Amino acid sequence: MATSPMLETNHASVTTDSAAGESSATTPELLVWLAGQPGEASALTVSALEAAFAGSSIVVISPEPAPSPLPPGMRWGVRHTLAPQGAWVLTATDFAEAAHAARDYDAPYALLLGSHGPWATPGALRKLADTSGDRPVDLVTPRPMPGEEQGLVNAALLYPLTRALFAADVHYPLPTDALLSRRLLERLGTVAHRSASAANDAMLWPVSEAAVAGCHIREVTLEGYTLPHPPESTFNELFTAVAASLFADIETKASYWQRARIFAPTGAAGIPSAQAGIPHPPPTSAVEVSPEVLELIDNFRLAYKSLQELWSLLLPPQTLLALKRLSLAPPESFSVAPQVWARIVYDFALAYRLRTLNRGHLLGAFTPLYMAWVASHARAAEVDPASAAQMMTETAQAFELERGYVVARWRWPDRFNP
Amino acid sequence: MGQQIGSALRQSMHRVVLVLANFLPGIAAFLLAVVFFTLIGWGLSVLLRRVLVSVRFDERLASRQPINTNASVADWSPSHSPTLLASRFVFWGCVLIGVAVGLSAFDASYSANSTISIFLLPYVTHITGAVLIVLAGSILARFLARSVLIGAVNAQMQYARFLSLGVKWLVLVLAGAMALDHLQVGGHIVELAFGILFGGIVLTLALAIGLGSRDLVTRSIERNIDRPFVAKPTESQPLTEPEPARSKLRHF
Repeated sequence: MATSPMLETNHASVTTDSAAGESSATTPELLVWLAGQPGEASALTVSALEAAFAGSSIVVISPEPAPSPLPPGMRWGVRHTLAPQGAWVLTATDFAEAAHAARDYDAPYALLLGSHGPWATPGALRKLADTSGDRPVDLVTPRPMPGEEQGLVNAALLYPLTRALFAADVHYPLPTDALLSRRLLERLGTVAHRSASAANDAMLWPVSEAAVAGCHIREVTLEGYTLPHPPESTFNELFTAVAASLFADIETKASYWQRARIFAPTGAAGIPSAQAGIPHPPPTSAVEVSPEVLELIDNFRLAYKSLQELWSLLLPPQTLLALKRLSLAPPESFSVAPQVWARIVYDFALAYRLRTLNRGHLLGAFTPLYMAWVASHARAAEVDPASAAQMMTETAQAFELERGYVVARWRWPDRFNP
Repeated sequence: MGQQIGSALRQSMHRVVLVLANFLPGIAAFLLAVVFFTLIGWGLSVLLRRVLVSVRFDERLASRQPINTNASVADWSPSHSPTLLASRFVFWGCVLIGVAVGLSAFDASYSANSTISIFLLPYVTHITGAVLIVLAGSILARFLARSVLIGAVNAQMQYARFLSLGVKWLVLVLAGAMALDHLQVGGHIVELAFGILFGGIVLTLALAIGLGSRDLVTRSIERNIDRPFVAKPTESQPLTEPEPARSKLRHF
């Protein structure tokens, strides 16, 4: 077991204390970054890595000490990180430190593993790290099998916005696990260095960054892939943190997504025209409304009564009228039209940029509207689970259709809006 | 009699004209100082803006600014331009210096007649202070009222608006009382009225929250009482906490 000197970085130090089967000077084929996995999960992941990359030269960087004996072909680096432990997504510090480690080891690819679910089988890891193809891949993100449950924030906000503004059809733009090329990782490392100087747990958006850099992105479907569950008790804080980070990212990359681009809305045939901002009420279903959905609808009505004044500072009259109708709608036909939702999100992103309200207040006022979308989705799922899946697709398509709206408002925010 | 009235009027007119004659040089000195320093401030701000634009100050600052931060220098600046912020800071700084110099000149011109100076100048400063207190109070009241409203709505409190209104008036009453106290108007009446009003609002809020949360507390107590008795854990039967009902909705 050889021990190399400690490599000091800006954020953390990495001690290469273990190498097996080969010289530590050999360039590894892959760098694996284990972001704060607990001991037991780390051991399981290591055995899966051993089986997945048998015969390959890999370097594993982990906060845990090296297992003994170390599998052949595997080198182990212990990092003394500043990254927050137990973060539910990869943070800016993770990216910054991984970029530094990839540079130190001269690794062409880095596999960042943030979650510690049972999905990390040898087959899944191999599939995630597979970079073969016509074009060199810069980013590979995993997604669960279609039909498996996905986060509602992702379906309502993250995926549609990333798809519409960055033309990246990646279902999980805030991945907890990803394979990145050295080129993209270097770029993210630079961005992360700036973000991490503000907060160690700042979020980064690798998909939008890859889209701006013209990188090739691939999404792989992994059987049994699960996303980490952050505690629901901290929902308000988490939601505002994610939305703030996303809006800030959109603001930073405005010059990119505002340019006229070769991008055709994919769902133009599926949903009515954007002029139909005020939706026709959906047919009332005979299926009974569950207490959970009723509670969500009641909460939206309370928010409508209380926050009207604030919303009127941010939203145009047509959207306010749609919200008024929604507050009066019976629970059986409670539905937020995809176009209305898309415009609401775009208007809040714009208000975030313009600081129409204090940003904390703005994101707080956004939360009840998201909960209204959740109520609408939950109601659709009660009536017909297939229509709920359809609603998610229509939401993403509506964001693409309304892209012109946000571009116009972003450029001329003071112009009259119907 | 008529002569005496005429004489009294003439003397009165003479005194007023004398006061005005004393007053005008002070005003003129004040205005001159303000105009002079404003012009200096304008010149300096233009010069500073040109220098900062030529060295690309905004771009340099933006490139060093950490992203994803909620508060940056640009965010506090008009049109998100730190250059503009710096030039305006210099301009208004000079104007303030001009006002200070002008007030000093105004004061100096009254050295002969200290009665007016003693009463007028401190009162002007008190009025300025009181206006600032009221302004700060109303901004703070609005901010806190919105914070409470949004927090209460997201916590699904039915009395969110009432709570927000209560907080707003608490801060406004406090600011109003402070301003009156600063102006030395009303004396003990203001303190008494403030105490009554403030206490009244706090009591009203406490009652409203207490009565509004009655059902919530009742449900919480009932839930605890109705919980089935759980035997002490033994080696053969370890204690297992019943799983709380989980929502089917998954946000993340």
